[in-house]
Amino acid sequence: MKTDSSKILVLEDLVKYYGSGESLVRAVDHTSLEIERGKFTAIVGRSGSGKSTLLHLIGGLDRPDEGKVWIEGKDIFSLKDDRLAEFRRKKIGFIFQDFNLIPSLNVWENIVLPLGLDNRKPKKQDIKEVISRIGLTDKEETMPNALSGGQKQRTAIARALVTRPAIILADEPTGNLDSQTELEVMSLMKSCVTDFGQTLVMITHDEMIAQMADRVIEVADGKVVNC
Amino acid sequence: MKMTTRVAFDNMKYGKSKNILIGIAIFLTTMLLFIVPTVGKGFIDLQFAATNELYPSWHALYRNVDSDTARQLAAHHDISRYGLRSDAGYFNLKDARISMMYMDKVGMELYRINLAEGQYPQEEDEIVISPGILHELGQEGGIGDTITVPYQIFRGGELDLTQEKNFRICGFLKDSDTGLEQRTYTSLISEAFLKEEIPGEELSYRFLLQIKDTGDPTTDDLEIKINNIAKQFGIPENDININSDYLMANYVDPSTLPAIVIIMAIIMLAGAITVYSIYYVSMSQRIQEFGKLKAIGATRRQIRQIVLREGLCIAALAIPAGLLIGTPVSKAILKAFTVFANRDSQYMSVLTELLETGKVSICSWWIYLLAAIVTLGTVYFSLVRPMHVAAKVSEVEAMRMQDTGKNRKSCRKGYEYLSVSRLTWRNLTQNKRKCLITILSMAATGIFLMVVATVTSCANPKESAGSSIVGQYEVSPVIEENNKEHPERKWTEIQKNNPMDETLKNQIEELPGVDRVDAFTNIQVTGDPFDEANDVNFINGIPEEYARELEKSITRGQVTYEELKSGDKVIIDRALLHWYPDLDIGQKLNLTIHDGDRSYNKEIEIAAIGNYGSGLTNYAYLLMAKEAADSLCENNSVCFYHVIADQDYDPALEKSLRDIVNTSGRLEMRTWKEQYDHYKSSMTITSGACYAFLGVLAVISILNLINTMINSVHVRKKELGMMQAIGMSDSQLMKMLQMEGLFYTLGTLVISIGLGSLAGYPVFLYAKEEGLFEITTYHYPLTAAIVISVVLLLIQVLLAAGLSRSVRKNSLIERIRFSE
Amino acid sequence: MERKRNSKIRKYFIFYLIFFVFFSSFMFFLARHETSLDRQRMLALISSHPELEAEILSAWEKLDSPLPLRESSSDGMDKTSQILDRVEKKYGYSSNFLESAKELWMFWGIGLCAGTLLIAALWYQSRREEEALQNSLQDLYECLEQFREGWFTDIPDYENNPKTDTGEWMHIWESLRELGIYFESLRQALKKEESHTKSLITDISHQLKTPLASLKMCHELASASPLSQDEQREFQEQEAREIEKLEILLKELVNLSRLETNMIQLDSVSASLKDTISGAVSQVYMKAKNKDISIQVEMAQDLTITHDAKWTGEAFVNILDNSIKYSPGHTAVTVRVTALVCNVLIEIEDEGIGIRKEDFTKIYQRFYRGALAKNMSEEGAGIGLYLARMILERQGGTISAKRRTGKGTVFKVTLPHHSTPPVSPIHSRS
Repeated sequence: MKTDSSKILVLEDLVKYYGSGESLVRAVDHTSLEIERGKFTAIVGRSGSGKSTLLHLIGGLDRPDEGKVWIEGKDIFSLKDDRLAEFRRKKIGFIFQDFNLIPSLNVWENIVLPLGLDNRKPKKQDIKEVISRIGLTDKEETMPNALSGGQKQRTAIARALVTRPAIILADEPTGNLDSQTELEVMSLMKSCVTDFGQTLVMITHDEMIAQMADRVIEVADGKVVNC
Repeated sequence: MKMTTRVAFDNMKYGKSKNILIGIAIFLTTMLLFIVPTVGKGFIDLQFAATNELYPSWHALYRNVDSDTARQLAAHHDISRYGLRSDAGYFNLKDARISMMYMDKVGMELYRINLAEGQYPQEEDEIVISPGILHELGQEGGIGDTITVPYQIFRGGELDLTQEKNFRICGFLKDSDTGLEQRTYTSLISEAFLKEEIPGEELSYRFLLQIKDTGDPTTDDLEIKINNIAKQFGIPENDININSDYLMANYVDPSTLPAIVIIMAIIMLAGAITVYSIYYVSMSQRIQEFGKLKAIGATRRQIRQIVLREGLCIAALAIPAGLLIGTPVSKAILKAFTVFANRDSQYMSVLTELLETGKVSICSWWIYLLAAIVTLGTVYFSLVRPMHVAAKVSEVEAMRMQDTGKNRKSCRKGYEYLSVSRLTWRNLTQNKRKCLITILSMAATGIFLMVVATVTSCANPKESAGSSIVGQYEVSPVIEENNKEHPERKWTEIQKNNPMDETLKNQIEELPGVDRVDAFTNIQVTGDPFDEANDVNFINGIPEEYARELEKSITRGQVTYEELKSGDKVIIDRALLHWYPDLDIGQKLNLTIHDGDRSYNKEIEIAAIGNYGSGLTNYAYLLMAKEAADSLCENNSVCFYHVIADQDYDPALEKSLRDIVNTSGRLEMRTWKEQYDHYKSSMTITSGACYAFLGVLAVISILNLINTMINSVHVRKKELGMMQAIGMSDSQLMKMLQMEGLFYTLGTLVISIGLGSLAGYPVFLYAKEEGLFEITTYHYPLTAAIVISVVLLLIQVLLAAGLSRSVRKNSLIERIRFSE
Repeated sequence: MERKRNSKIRKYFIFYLIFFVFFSSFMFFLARHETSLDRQRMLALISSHPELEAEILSAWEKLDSPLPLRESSSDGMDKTSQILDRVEKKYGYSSNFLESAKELWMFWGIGLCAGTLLIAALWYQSRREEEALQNSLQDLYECLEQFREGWFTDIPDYENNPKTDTGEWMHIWESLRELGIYFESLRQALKKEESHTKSLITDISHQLKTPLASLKMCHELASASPLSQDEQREFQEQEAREIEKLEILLKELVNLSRLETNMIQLDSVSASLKDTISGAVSQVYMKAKNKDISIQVEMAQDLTITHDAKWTGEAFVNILDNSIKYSPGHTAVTVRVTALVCNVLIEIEDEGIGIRKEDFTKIYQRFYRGALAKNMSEEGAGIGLYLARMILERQGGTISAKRRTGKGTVFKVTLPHHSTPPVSPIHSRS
């Protein structure tokens, strides 16, 4: 177990290829990386540079062909499936560009879902606080198909706030949003970092967002080019 | 290939799992639709063929026909073949009955008499005998040798004085086993001899005939014709003997057809429901696809065509497969039947032989065609609604990424906190219709199964046997009311010289293993309400040991055994009400009692109506105390000895009893074991067939369950992927799927077993009324219920496990992003 | 511990006793039943063979008692026992009570043994469990001791250890591990702060060197050689400028150091944003006027948000200052305020030299001046944006810059309407 606990996330020589032969795509090509705890790290790069794949590998959504991912000193791919799911439930929060909310559950239920999977009962007051924080107080019972893009993202953020995962992984969360909503969402996400000490790793190609990060990592052709 | 067909074909390859299921459903339906009529028809064909082999092939015979009438009849238009037979007389031998018979060539064919060797007698002194006859005569000889025969000829209505003659053996017949046992034989003499011995005006023949069967007459048609011809020629009804067995075996009996049609309809229904619900469940997924097609420019009609052709493509593969596999399976079923059935009778062995040698062909081309067409029709019908739905999809609705169905609310009151079970419940309630359709279609089969199981478990061969015979053995005299050959076998004649006497009783009682012998009296009555021409009714004298049983099974009215001793009151069995439904308690019957040669009138009151097993009544439905019955007759009217033994089956005892019966020559015996075997085998076959049939139906409806679950997972693949990204572990996913499946299973079980059990009782009552399988008591089909539950649960567990495994095959991100 | 163990033993013992009592009484009743049956049989025998009454009775009773009696009246016994045998054989009894009793005794014995074994097994099992518990607690204790000694990261491997495989133990070890990580990160943060402070001091002293050096040079030059009046005045003016620069720099540095070292607490209260902005604008008004840059404020209505007016104003001043500094004259700087759902958006637009794309992330660094800026004659320590960002982010706001279409830059600042009190950055509540 690694003992340097300021580095909450360590990638060790990750490799992920798709296809073979002529159509071989090196999505992640021997990438090593260290992310500091409690900071907002932005990963930038052009589309097709493998950023998304990298994020998926970090979050355990996909398995690498080679290499390891250490989160809080644990090699996540050495965990059994059930333990990995539990780990993900407790430690990692995801915010995608879309497909964040379960369409058959309303806002409240979407927010308390991870707690429910963890067999924890939510404290009603806490949830209400979070919901008011994201500004969706009177939309607790609304279904996702009746929410705007920004509202959906905010709900997803609320979910991450409720479980307080140590790492939040975001994949272009503001991609579909207009500039004002974008700022709102970003300020909410930054507050996760500053207020609660969570680590935020976000993929973005927006230079404005990258400015808000504590650290910017540039990725091209599956490799880290610039730290 | 047309665009629609091409699209359909591609679709078929694409949505593999669903199509496999539909394919299986169609395959099974076809197979069943093929097997049922094939087996039914094969069955019937085999029986006909066996009957043909065994029974004589004449349609009817007229007795006491003189030569002139015979000649005239021969000329009749409707008579296609005829033969003559005349019984000349008997050999005069003690203890053995050897008849001397003349038959012309056609007659022999019609009677299916074949010589073992030699030829038919032509000369006056030629004779055909059998080895048994030689034995009886105490003489030896082969073909060409001479034997001396003492004989008596029928002249003037009785056997004349003995004559002796030397005959030359010209041929041999085979002895039959029964003939040897009972020492009755037949010898054949020539026409010359007949004409020589019997004067012309006394000569009478039996005229055997076959009716021309152009125009496919039914059995009823033939019988009418036969009677008409007889009337024309002044032949009285008593002298007509119709070979009904043979007729029935060869000409259509119209009652079996509806049964087969009903069964086929049920199969069609099951198949249609399954195919329909599979399509219904998966229709929602394809909305996007159809919308896109429409946006590109496909018309409604073309979309309908696509759906239809897709279904037909699958059918095109599945139907031939079903027919192909159905062929050997039907053959196997028929073979299995012969294995299970009672081998002992000659009938069955002939049947088996026919089947094995393939003399009777089982598969007919029109059944193939029928099955194929009916299945296609089923597929078409089950696609009608899905086609309609597909065509109605609006383009805009389909182009949206998420499935916004008609019933999507924008707000919903939710749970305060979630758990795996609540997620499952949420998912189920969202798709209430699909749930219901799946559960109901499976439950339908389940109910059916339970009802059949109830009937078969109520039909206990031991009980049935016990109800159809009292005691372990039943000895009775050989009674034949209408046998002109043996007029001494009429009951009223037997009464005068009843072999069922005290010595016989004591003889039987002495046998080891016999507890006691109960004697039942039968008295023939005719009279008031009874139809004289066709019906013979008896008073049944029940001994005191059965008093309680008699009283217990009274269903209407009140009477005690003591009262029944008076001789004025009877209890009638319910069976009598079948023919005479107007009979009621208190009604006074004006009966004529036949006692030997005399008869007298008596008025008897119906005191009660009861429900008794056929063993007790033996078709004598007027029950009174034995004492009373005995007092009504001077003659010994004991008709039945019911032997109560300490063991159900004791081979030694049976043999001893048989010996007694055989030595007497006038007695016959029924055994409990025979009844038991009979019921057991017939029940095994029936229940086996039923269960097999229902088993296949069950498989068809389980396909339904499989499809629903697969679909529910498939549709939510993305959602499930998301939940797993949030952190649902694999075991929680499996738990969810298991709970879903459990819901379906439990729902189906509750309805099937619940309603099925309830429905079983009335069916049991009906069977009891009709006397099917002699069912008397209600047994709850516990094993069936348990088996159904276990099997269903097992399938569901396996299904859920398999599903969750297949879901996990993709990595999470693939599921979220790329599942469509 | 001892007491508990004793009480446990006592509990088991009591269980066993109860079992013993029940079982024995059951056997007793069973035996009695058997005996009474026997008696009945005997009575039946007697009633059917009254002539043998005496023999039967004596045989029965005599068989009960042990062997010696048998020998003494062996003859009589044999005869009656023969009769009894025959009678019993005919009727199928077995009268030997002793034999059947033997079976019952055996059964009773076996039952007791089985009971004993069962209790022992249960007890053993519970002992094992207790031991396992002890071990786990021991491990826990050692781990905590280690924490006390400053070793936070050496947690025993509980993932694959079967002893700690149950849910509750996993939770405890997980929490412990996270506690360790927390402590560790606290320690790291402390260390960082130390080095941070060190580097701050280094930076500040470095920054101070330059103006101080030029001042010194001025002074030396001024005092080194005799100067004309004009030259003296020139040098004095130069010195005054340098001193002014030093003052500004010092002020900024003092602010910076105070903020950096958390000596200053941001005091967020509900206050009028308009006031804060107006205050900031008025502070830079003169500077703007000097360059003939107009400042426009577009704010539909006043908004009351939770913020520290002084420091937020300071932040705005820095940004405006930046804008003004790097804009050419006769241009406009616009301040636009929009209310969003959770935040307020304040956009500060200028028409200046703009910021290069590569520099966007770097402008917030301490003492950074963009390449373009270096060319300008304007002075600046390069910490304005750094401070602004720190202030804004501490209040839960954000700042980002974008290039305007055309020329210039727009700074977008968000501040939450109602901020929850910020907590120390390393505080984690999972």
